[in-house]
Amino acid sequence: MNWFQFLGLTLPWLIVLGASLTVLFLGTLMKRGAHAVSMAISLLSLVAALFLSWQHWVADVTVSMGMMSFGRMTFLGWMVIAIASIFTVLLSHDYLARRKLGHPEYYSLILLSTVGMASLIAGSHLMLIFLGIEVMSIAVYALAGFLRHRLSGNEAALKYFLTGAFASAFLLLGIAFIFGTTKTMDLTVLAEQLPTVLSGDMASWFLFGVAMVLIGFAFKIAAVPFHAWAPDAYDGAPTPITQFMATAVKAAAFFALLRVASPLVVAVGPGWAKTLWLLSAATMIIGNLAALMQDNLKRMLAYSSIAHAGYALVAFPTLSTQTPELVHGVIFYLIAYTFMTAGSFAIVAFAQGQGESADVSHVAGLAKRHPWMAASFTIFLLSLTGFPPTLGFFGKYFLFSGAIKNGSIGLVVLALLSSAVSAYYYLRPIVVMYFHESREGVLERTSPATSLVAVVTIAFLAILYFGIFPSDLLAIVQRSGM
Amino acid sequence: MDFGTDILIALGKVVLIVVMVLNLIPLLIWMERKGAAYIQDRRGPNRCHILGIRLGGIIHSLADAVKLVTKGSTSTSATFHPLFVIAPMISLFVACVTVAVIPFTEPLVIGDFTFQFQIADLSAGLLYVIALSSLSVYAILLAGWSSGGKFSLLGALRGSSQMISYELAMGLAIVAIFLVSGSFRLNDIVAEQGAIPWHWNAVRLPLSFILLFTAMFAETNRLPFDLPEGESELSAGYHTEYSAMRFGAFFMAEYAHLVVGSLIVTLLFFGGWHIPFLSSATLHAHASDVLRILWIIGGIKALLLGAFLVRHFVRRKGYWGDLRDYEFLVFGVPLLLVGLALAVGFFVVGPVVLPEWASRLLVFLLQLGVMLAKTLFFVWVFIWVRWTLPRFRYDQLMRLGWKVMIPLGLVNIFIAGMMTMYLER
Amino acid sequence: MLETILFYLFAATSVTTALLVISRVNPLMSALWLVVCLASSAGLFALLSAPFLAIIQILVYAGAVMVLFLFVIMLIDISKEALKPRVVRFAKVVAVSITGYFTVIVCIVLWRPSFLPAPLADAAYGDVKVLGKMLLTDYAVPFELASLLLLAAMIGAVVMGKKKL
Repeated sequence: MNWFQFLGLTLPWLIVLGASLTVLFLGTLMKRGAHAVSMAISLLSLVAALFLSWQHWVADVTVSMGMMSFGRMTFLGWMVIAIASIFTVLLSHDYLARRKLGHPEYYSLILLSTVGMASLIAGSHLMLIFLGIEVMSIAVYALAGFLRHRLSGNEAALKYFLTGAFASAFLLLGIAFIFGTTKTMDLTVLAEQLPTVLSGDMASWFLFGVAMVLIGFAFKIAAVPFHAWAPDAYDGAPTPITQFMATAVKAAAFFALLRVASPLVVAVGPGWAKTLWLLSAATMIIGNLAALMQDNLKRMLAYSSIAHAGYALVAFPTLSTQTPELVHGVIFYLIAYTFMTAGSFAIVAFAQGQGESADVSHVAGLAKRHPWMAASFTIFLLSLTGFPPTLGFFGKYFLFSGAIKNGSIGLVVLALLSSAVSAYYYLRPIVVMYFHESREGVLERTSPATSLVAVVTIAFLAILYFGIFPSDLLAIVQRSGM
Repeated sequence: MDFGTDILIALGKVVLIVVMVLNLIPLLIWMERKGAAYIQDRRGPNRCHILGIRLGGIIHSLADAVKLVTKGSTSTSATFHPLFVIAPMISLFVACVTVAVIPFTEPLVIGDFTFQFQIADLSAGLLYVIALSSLSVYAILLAGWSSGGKFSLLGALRGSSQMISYELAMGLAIVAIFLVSGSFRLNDIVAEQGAIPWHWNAVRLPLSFILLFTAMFAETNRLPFDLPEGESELSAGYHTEYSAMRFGAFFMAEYAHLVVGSLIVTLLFFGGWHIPFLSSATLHAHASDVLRILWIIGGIKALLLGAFLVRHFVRRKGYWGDLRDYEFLVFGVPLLLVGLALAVGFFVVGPVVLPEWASRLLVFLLQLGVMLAKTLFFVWVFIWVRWTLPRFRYDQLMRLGWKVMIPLGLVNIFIAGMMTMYLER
Repeated sequence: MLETILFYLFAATSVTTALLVISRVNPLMSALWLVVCLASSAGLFALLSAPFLAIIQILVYAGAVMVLFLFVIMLIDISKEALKPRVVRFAKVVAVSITGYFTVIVCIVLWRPSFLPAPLADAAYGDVKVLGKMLLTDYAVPFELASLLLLAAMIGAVVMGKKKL
């Protein structure tokens, strides 16, 4: 194994790791100004990671080494999480400064978490995937409870941690069963051995392991029987971290699931495809129905994120190595979802102001005071609903058309119906923004912070540009291969 | 050799070694008391006697033992009994079980027969010691909690946090030894050091030695790290509520830990059973000469000591006016006789060349003696430090553990790594 | 022969103590039984010719992790009332899922009786040197990642626990 090549390929995340440690050290050295400096360092390192990942993508290296398999798909995943983390860091600065919580540890944890995600995305070995998930999650557990003096912050951290640890136990048990039956944890070797294993007498143990792994992943992406932690964790966490959980964590988990699912879950047989079918259907329906009843914007977005995980799962029952259009559909959807969710959370963070409440009444009258903000939020919500000509529409379009081509018509019909339901709760904030009078004392602040505006602008432009020219983004995704 | 004999030999070793360690305990208590007295410029225990024989105060230890065994065990209404009873047992058990992997000498080889003075020669021997000593925290923790008193609980919390903290420093110090020795097996570590003192780990890895020895103090909960039983603030810490033999078990465990700690330090840093400059091969080759030298030295010593005791008796005749006056005579005369017998014997058996088995046995015993002598020296250092240094404050203790010893331990590993890379290989 | 006896001994101990862990009302006793459980599983590791793993299991889990558990449990003053078994929803959910889990396992075993293969035990298996070499070559990436995991956990614990950041 060529270590220099390996270091070169993982350089983006080595930089991020270095930045994370630097931030931590600076935190002990600097008394004042540590917040701004650590934010700047984090931002720079993430931008560098984004740029280098892009360079790797352009160079189009395909190689497997050190239990990781690198390829355009990996680099694309890296870019997605880099973008999502950049949004988080940008949102955090203003949010933390208002609450006098600007501690370097916060940024350090975000960066560590992204390093975990990167190895989760690149990992082609179950051990690496598990460790990646754990690094990612443990950092986020702590971040979810970063509002330490709020009861709901503690609740978020505790619930997320306990259920997450439980899920990890499932995942680990599943990996142990798979390893016990096949004596390998390498996904490519596993895919080759699959027919022998399935016809041997260890098949039932192996299937059991696959089920456990599936449960573990379902927890991480908040699919329905395993979603109960999500609303509370999303609500109690600081808003930028909620955005982080909804975009980066979810994207990374989906990238890993795509890698794990095609050799394992789907190839195993129709029974598992049915399980995934049920998982997807339940996630969509329950996520959307529960979101209908939320007055709290963060909780609403939490349920909406559950619902979106359900949409993305539509592709999985028929996923295999012969269906690139499904993989591309999921990834396109994830990218679209990242932009629109990041934008929405930026607006929520703005509407929250100094307080922690994210009630829908906070956006009342936003259209009068900050018309651009209101307009962008409208676009984000429309995109989440799936109206053309936004990115969200094309995300759903590519995903569902791929699914129909592979015969999951029933599931697509369900998805369309439930996204029609979702229009109600997505349109409600728009109505509140444009037609309700702002309450006394809310939104008294004059202008949003520059970094927040940057997030909103980037997300806004991305959604509109790719909404009008979806083929550009689709080309990138399609050229990433499988 | 069949299975049954194996088991018998193993059992014999267990009994022998455990009894040896346990019997050292009264001696150590005496050593501690006399040492304390010596350091504090007083006489120490000298009252207790059996028919006027005081053995310089050793009888006190026997009296203590009788007292502890015959007293009644008390407990309070808040006591949680099952754990209260188990805790001292864990303490003593862990201390005794650790001895299992300690090699006291090189294996004794006579013809086909091999005898190793070690209960179990584990490939991960040193790790076993650390693992078990880490279990001794439970004794303190459970004792403190099950007593149901505030002093006990506070003592237990202090004690366990202290032990956990210093365990890290200890582990780091030991890693350096692994690097240099290339083995976890205690036999290999000792053999690797050899007989030349500047090849001993204490010289090669001085930092490691300092760290480990310091951590040992904390692990045995002795001054200057005896916060768990800081009398001035916690009366007696985790064993406040204990009495009689339950207390005795803690008491014995402390000294057993002392012995084990000293044994470990001897093995890891001071060449174990090696006699400086005399490797086992040399000793085997010149066993007869060694015996002669020992014979002469022993004879001279016995004569001198006997003469000294008799002189003492003559000088202080009638000082007490009772049986105690004759104590010196009781020891002096036999010693003189022994010395004379040795002197005469030397001329009779001196020229004899020892047979193979006898020379092997001699070297074996000699090395055992050297090992124990080194160990007793370190036991004395433990006692010496205890009566010299004052107690740390709790925050000082923690700062020392986490901010001084652990970083130093890491530096030490780095140094040891460099050493192995550039000097040794 | 001896190995078989020891295996059944350790296996029985670990299963029994595991049951005691989840059935004790007093968390302190649960934690203590867990210590015994971990120690007996260390015995199983030793039987699988992995002495290093066995000792590390005792050193790390029994000697350090569980001590901290006990530490915390002792510091929390648990009243007699709080120790009374309560029927809470979470416990129900857990109980049902675990029962389901075991039912599934038992069904699988009854449906197609097969045993997991015994591990390959060559001479170097479980040896410290081989293990160390493997950790720093083939498994270097996961090894480093595990250290990152610990770092993240440490920062997280400090963030959550420290009074004033």
